This record gives sequence, structure tokens and C-alpha cells, in this order.
Amino acid sequence: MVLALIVVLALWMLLAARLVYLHAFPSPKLVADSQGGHIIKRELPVSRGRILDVHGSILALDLPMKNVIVDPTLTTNDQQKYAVSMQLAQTLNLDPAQILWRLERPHSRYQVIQKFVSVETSTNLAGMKLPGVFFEDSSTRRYPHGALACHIIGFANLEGVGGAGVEQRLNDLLQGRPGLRIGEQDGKHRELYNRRGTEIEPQDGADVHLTLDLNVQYLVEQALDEAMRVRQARRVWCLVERVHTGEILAMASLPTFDPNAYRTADTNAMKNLVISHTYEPGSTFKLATVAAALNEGTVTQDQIFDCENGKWFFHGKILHDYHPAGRLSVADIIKKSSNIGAAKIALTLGEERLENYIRAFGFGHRTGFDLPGEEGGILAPHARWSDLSISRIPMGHEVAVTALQLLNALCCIANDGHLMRPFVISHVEDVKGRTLRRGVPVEVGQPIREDTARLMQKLLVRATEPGGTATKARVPGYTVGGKTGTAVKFVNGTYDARYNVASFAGFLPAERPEIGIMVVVDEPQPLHTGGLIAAPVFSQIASNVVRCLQIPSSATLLAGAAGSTGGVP
Amino acid sequence: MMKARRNRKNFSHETAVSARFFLLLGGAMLIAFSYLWLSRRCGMLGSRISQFEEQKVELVKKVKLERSRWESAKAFDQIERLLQRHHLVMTWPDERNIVRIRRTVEEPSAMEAAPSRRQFARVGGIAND
Repeated sequence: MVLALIVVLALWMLLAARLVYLHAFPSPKLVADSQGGHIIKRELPVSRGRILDVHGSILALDLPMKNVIVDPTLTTNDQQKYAVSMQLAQTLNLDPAQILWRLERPHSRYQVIQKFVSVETSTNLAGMKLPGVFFEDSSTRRYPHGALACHIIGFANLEGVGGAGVEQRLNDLLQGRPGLRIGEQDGKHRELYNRRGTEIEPQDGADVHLTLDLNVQYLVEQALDEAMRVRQARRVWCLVERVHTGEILAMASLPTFDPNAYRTADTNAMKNLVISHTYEPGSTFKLATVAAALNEGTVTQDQIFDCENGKWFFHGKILHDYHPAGRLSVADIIKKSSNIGAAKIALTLGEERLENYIRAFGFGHRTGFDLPGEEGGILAPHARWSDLSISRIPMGHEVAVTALQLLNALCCIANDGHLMRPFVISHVEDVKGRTLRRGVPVEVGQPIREDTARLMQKLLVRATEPGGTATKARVPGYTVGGKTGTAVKFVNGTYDARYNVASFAGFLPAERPEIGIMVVVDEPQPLHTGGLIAAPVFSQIASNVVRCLQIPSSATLLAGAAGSTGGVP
Repeated sequence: MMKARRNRKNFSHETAVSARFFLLLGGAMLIAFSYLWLSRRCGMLGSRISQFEEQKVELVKKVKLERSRWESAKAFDQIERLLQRHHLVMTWPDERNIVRIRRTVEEPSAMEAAPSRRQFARVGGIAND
């Protein structure tokens, strides 16, 4: 009896010892055999980072969605297939015949019915308990404000890759890094938590904060929309920049596109005209010419030039003034926007110095702006200039610039001669709140002295005073400085007076400039001058923006400077 | 006499061996049951953690959906639609209707206390803020 007991116990002990051995020293072959069907390797999804404006309003975010899938093998008969296809078609607004066609594939167990279905719709479908219908997690990029600021934000495609704007430029930071989990599952395909092996945490994409102010952007786009409609313009674009830092507060081009439906958008509407479209700027370019001459001392503000009553032959070609005048001082050449005066001022400088100054103001090369697709403009070296160039370039012909370059040059004057690099990316922050990248104001040069810049500010204010070309740019309560521009377009090999680009670049308040605004209207009809077309749009935008940004009025600034108690809004 | 002594000795030895054996067996069983209990407990906790993880994922999704809804709700075109529906017109206040609080002479305004202008360019091109 005892012996039998011992034998049984010994057998059990052997069995136990074998079990312990198998657990403690498992052979790789056995492990592979046992775990082959249980090992799960799952990629942990990652969320693309958000894009936010300066106040934290979300401009772009990832939205959870569902893909609707069917397993045709689980729909047993024709009646059931018909019922499923009808229900799916009704809910998803699809063609039932197409769904039925997918259901009639007995050898397939995975048929995608529709991708990117909203969570609400998928919940409704799940409630119907349709046989063979199941759902997969997915996500899509959503732009809650639609077309607003679309050219800055850009878009991300269905694979989550940025295709334009900030989405493209900061794709690597926005994308994040998916995680990985390797573990085991039980017979019911449930993950065994205590058998998790490798676990690499997913790193969600970083949030991108812009210097863009959505309120300002909206005001700008509203004004541009109205201008485009009223002026029957082909395109309009505008830029608002903070003078002392180079921060971009708004950047808009019309026509726009909805990044939520970028696949159906017109490719022309997707172009960010502010940075990607170069054009002959016309008279707005004179500010660079006059500033250069004043800085070099080749002219003074009171120096008189004969403006030839609006017609001047130079190297056998006639040069016209839009507002014919006789003798004008340098100050009045700016105020009246005399082409002949600007050409004669440029002649005092000479070709080489003029080119050097133009380049120093940032023309002829990219500004280094944050967004992709920036154009550098066209400015030929003076060695390749024709005899006429010295008379045409000062008035903004034979050169091509972007609105960004021109406004930045104006802001340089408003910033006492310091040229700043424009930027729109304020900072990039990861999910743990660490700053990965910060946009800081950077001075890229000082083309003119501070005293020259201050003098230029005064001269540019005169353009908005009675008798100037930009009286319609005035803003009640604020002193505005700026320059109008009207450029005849070069169409089919010739300058065609029917097609013009009207523009105005200005800054305010002139006593202590805070913001610079540039408005460009392409092919307005029937009026076409910068003073009549672009200046009123500037005034409309600036009037609202100064209130939105709570910029003190000129009267408040003057009262403060005079040493009064100083009211602060 | 000798035989009786041998028998007694054998009996005590066998008893001691089987007692030790059963003690060892009992200990092994205790360890085995503890192991099983702990394993089951770990499994239960693991499944709860998994549930919480799934719950967290779902909550994160809900937060994203709500954020998107909120942003869409306060989008400018939506607000304009609502204003139109309720026949409301919003305008900027007239300059005369703005009440400005003036500071006393003793208390300098923030604008007066601050440097005259934010000139980033003067600090070597890179600002600190």
C-alpha cells in the first residue's frame, strides 16, 4: 500500500518536476510552437499635432473616424444581403447596388464599404446589428474654420502627410511617431496584459502655435471678399505684419479653398499669393529708391526736381506721370507719386548703389519665411540692366516682388531702418509641454540709418494727407503712413493698360508704428489705381484691426508724449 | 529484544520521513496555489488596466470630437449665421461711447512705465520673449 502510494507520488513528482523544468528552462522550439498563434504585434496609433492661432483657437486637428467594413461570408442568404446593403446605403448615402456587389464575394472576408465615417453614423450603424458589418478605427484631418487662413495652414492628405502650408513645412513635428506593442492574446483574442513584452509608447505629434490672430485674419478676409466682389477683381491678397518683430498677424489670398475638401479644390485657389506670386509692384517700390537716396545724401527732402509736366524722354523712350507736375520737392515726389521724379532721384544714386539698396531691403531673394513655396522675386544684377532700367526700376517696373517682400521693406522703414525676418510660427510644443522650436524676431539687416527711416516715415505720412495719392487710406483717429502703387500688367508680350495691379502698403500709428498692412488687388474693374482701389480696403482693414489689437490712437500717443496723465484703453 | 528495537527504530524513521515529505508537499502545494492565485490576480488587474487603457483611448477620442464641435460652433461663419437668424447686428462701439479709465499722476500707466517702443533689433537681433 505504502509502496503504491510512493510510486504514485513519485510519478506526480516527476510530472511536477517536468512542468517546473518546462517553465524554468523552456526550449526555444517549444516556445515558438506554443506562442506562434498567440503573439500579437500591434502598432499603436498616433495623433497628428494641432495647429493653433495666437489665442489658442484650433485651426487644425485630428478627428476620430471609423471605416465601415463587411465580411461577405457572414451574410448567409440573398435576402439578408439585400437587407444589409439597403440599410448601409440608406445610412451612408451610397448606391445599394454597389454594396450588394461587394457582398456577393463569397471568398473575401474584408470589403471596405466606406472610409472616414463619423463616429455618430458608425454608432447608429452598430446599433442596427447588421450581420457581417464591423468597424475599424481611423482618423481624418479636420479644419474647423474651413477656408479661413487656408493658405497658411495648408492641408494634410488622407495618409496624414502635409501637402501645403504649415502642414507641409512642419510635417515631421506634426506627424509624431507611432508606438509598438508586442504581447500575447488568449483564445478569445483578448490581450493578456501580464504577457506584454515590448512596449514603445506612441509619441503624438507636436502642437504648432502660430503668430496668426484669427480675429484679424477674419477681418482681413471679410474685407478682401467684399473688395473682390465690388471691384470685380480677379484676385486679391493682403498681409498684416507686426512692425517691430516681423510676426505675421494675418495673411490672406482670394480665391480660397476649403482644406477639408482639398481634393476638389481649384489648384489656382491653393496658391498663397502673398509669398508665391511675384508681380511688378509699381509705385510702392519708390519707397526703396527715395530711402536709398536720402540715406546716401544724394538728395534732401526739400531738393527740387523738374518733373517735366508729366512727360520725359529718357534714352529715346517716353516716361509718363499719372499726375503730371512741374517742379516737385523729394517730399512731394513721394506724396504725388511722380515716376519722373523717382527716376531722376535714382539717377543721383547710380545703378550699382541703387541695386545694393534694393537688395538690402530684401528684394531679389527670399525672406526666409516659414512657409513653403516662397518666391524670391526678380531683380537682375545692374551689369545686365539696359539703359532704361535706371529710370524704370525706381518706379517698380523691370522688377518682380512678392507682397511679403514689399511689406517687409516698408516695415523696415517703420522700424527705424531695422529689417526683420517675417515669421508665422510662434512655437512648437510637444504633448509634454516641452518647446521644440521657437520663432523669435531676428534682424536681418539695417539698410538705412534710423534718422533716414524716421524722415521716410514722415514723408510717407504725407501721401495720406490732402493732396496725396492715398487719402482714402486714412483711418479715423490714427495717423497713417504708406505708399500707393498701380502697375500696368505685362500681358501677351506688351504692357496692357486694361490690366492693372492696384496696391497699397501702409503702417500705423505713424507716431509709433505697430502694424504694417499690404493690400494688393489684381485686375480691378473699372477703376484701377492703388489710391482708389487698394487704399480704401487698407482703411477698412486697419480701422478694425487697430480696435481688435487695442492699438492706442494717435491722440492717445501724442497725449502720452506730451507728458499728460495718459489714458490707456 | 534486538528485533523489537529494530522495529521501533524503523517505525520512527518511516514516520519522520513521511511527515517531512507531506510537509514538503504541503509547502509545494501552498506555493503552487499562491502562484495560481497571484497569477489570476495579476490577470484580473491586467484586464482592468487594459479596460482602462481602452477607456482612455475612447475618452481621448471624445475630447477630440468635442473640441472639434466647439471650434466649429464658435467659427466666425457659424456666429454670423446665428446673428442673422436672431436679427442681431454687431458694430464696434463709437469712439465717444468708449469709457477710458484714466490713471492718476502718481500711478504711471503701463505704457509710460514700459520702454518707449519694443525694439527687438537693438538686442542683437534676437529677443528674449
